[in-house]
Amino acid sequence: MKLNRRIALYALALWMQLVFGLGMTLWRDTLTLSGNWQIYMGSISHDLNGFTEFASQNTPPREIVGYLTPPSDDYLTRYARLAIELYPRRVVWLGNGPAESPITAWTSVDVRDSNWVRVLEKRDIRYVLIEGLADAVPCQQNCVRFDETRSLWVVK
Amino acid sequence: MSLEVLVVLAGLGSILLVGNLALDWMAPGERSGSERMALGFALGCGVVALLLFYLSLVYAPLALGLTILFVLTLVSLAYGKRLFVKRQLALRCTKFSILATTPIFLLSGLAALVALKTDLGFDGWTDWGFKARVVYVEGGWTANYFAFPWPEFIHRDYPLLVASLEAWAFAWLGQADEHAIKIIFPFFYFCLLLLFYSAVRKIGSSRIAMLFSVLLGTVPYLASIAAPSGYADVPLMLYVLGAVVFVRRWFERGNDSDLLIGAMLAALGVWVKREGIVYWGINFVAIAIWLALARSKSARVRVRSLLIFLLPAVGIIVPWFAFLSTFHIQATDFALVLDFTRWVRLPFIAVNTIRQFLAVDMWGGLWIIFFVLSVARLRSSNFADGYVWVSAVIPFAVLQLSFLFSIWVPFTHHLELASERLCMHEIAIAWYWIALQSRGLDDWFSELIMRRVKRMGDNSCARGR
Repeated sequence: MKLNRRIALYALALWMQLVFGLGMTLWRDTLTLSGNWQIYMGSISHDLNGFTEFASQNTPPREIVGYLTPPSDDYLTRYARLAIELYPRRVVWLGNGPAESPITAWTSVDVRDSNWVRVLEKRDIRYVLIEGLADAVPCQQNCVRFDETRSLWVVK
Repeated sequence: MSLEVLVVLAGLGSILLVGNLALDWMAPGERSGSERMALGFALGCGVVALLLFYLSLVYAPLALGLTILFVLTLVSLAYGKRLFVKRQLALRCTKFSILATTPIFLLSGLAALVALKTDLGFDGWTDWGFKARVVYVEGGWTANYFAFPWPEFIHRDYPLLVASLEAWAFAWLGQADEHAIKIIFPFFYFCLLLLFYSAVRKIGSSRIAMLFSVLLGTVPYLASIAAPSGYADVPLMLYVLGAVVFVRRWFERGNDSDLLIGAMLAALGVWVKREGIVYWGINFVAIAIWLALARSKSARVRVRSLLIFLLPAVGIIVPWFAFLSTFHIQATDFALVLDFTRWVRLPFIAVNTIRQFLAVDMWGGLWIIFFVLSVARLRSSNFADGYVWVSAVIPFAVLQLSFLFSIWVPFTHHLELASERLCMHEIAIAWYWIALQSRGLDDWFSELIMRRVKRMGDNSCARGR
């Protein structure tokens, strides 16, 4: 009798788990399917598609391409997407500022320093996609403008 | 369902067929349809990934093409011979109830629907999708890719099974379509549930097997986050669960073919995610202890069993680590430094571990049921069941302790990001252990149903009078 009661309690716990699990699954799946919840943060705005297209049209394949941005992880997802979409070009992320931690993904550069172009030469970079730095690196010679904040600079 | 998704499913079907050939070659014999399907897919993925890797070492630009050619030729010849010469069914398996497995199909279908609505996710792009694109563009794993100093988050040190599978799908599609390949991940979920069903079915009725399969399949984090995502956690679960099921079966029955399947799955787990090495290590230690305690067996038999477990690792794990060391690719995110100041991290890790086990929105009451049952049943369990319990608990503890060596600043950010996924790898093993302890449940259910039927009969008789 005591054993039966224990098993009944155990069966009740399993039943509750089943109902809860099924309920949570259906609720979360409904949210995802209706576009109100995202499983893992990774989505990027659609404006990057045009920029990727622009970059692939203006840079030769198998080239090493720089991606110069402010030093912020806000650009991490955009860089990842560019690196994937532009392959076989190899995209190197250049952050205009210091690295924040040992796992910082960008290579630190300082565009105010006149020698910063040497970093590009050292890494064999002849094309630089510039984003979010229109004030610091204005589009001048050998520069193709995409929009107000983004451009492609062909390093001589 | 779009045509692209169907093409990827056809590609997965060919993997399943080649995996079945590998299974028949390694461990011939009749199996249930669910077990055959899950094992065929798991082993087939291994065949494709390893073939692509080894052919890349010979001549990378043709490796992917040659892998497809080799697999399709092998599948056509072998199954053609079975069908037309021997006039047998292509897949030899015992009957399994479609009705009993309907919930598995429904849950997997739902996961597929959600998967196709979302993207691969950040790690899904960078860890696997990007590598798959490299293989698709270059034709194989080129030295250029491994030699280039990609940022840390690209993780060149991560193993190649999932990326190889995605590259295989890209090749079938003829384009790098990240949307269609999302179907791969719910397919792993489907195979995981089938393997789990067949494992529990060996020890209980189809009713109990289905109950526990649905309990596993509806764990909130697994069903609505991991299964539809483009991450490698569900694939790893398939391999580590498979290894535990077959090594346990070997402990119980002593059949070497079970040990070989367990060894293959444990070794292939290392090819899915680095964490697989922890599970492989636990299997190795458990087998070594078992053999040391098995005094009734001769030394020759013990050495033979140990070799059966170790040899797949020599062919599958060792070359990968040798390859990484050739390219001086070190583990990212972690640095093995003996720094005693890092012990201050222990309380954070301990609190995080407990918090993780109690995260009801992720696991429901799974871990609570597991630990309460552990207290009640652990003393009465045998070596094989104890091994399953250890496989469910120790890897998470070991992986949590690895955050002592995290180089992230602050390390708690790393811990919080990864903990849920690390905890998830064990949930199939935890449910398997719970199912092993629930042998009395089936009789109780039968008794309950009988009593209900009898009461209904009495009531209708009374009403008739």
